[in-house]
Amino acid sequence: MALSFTACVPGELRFRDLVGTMVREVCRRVERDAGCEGLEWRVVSAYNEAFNNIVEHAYAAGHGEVEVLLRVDEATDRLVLRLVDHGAGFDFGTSGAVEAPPVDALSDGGMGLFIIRQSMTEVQYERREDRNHLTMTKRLSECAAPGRALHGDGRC
Amino acid sequence: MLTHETTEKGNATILRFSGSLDALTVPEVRPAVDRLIERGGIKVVVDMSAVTTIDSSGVALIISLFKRLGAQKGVVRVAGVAGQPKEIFYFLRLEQALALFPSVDEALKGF
Repeated sequence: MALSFTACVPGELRFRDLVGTMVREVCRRVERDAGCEGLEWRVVSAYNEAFNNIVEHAYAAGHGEVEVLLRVDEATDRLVLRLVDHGAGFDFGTSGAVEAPPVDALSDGGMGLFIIRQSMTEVQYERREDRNHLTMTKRLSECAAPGRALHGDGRC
Repeated sequence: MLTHETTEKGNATILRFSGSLDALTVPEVRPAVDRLIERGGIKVVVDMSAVTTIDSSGVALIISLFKRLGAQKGVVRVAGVAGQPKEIFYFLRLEQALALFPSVDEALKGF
């Protein structure tokens, strides 16, 4: 089964959950149909942090829109979530810790990217045509079958 | 949506959140957290059992309470973290820094 949607909303926090609800519902359906669990938590966590970053950083000095694309394809074992904005760019390579930062060093920005990296299988950032493209991919087969413990290696 | 309430039990203050503790809702509850911090060296149990979703802003609020109250010889315990919030705490290894308890009753023991 392949399923996708695209949406475009103003880059303001109050619109985040409008699309977030759709992201959540798609993940719930995939969990149910594919017999896995943990997908919803991880994808929604990544979506929320990515949207927050756009509002708080990319559009810190102005307003704009956020385009959201979600595509699930069981044949390719992939869920792809892409957020696009035309706000300020950032150095993705040096932003956000790869290892869990110590509590004393926790800050909103770095913590958000760290959560995204932990939640998804692969994260790519591109600055193209004055737009930020953040593409987050989750392999569906990483999700545990129902009843399996979620915690152990940090992956579903 | 997030609601919060503060109750006193014995010598502890229980701060209970219900709903989503995130960038959208943290500004609503920050004044209540700041009022707790202003009281100084008190014992606080943060009841997270009804928190459905948390993001980095919500975590930052808990960390801020922990650090700022700790600097005034206060104590913070966190109870009932489950589901998505538990996973975020696990990613950030917060169980190594915060005192986590399965329930408010457990957190109140010996407090």
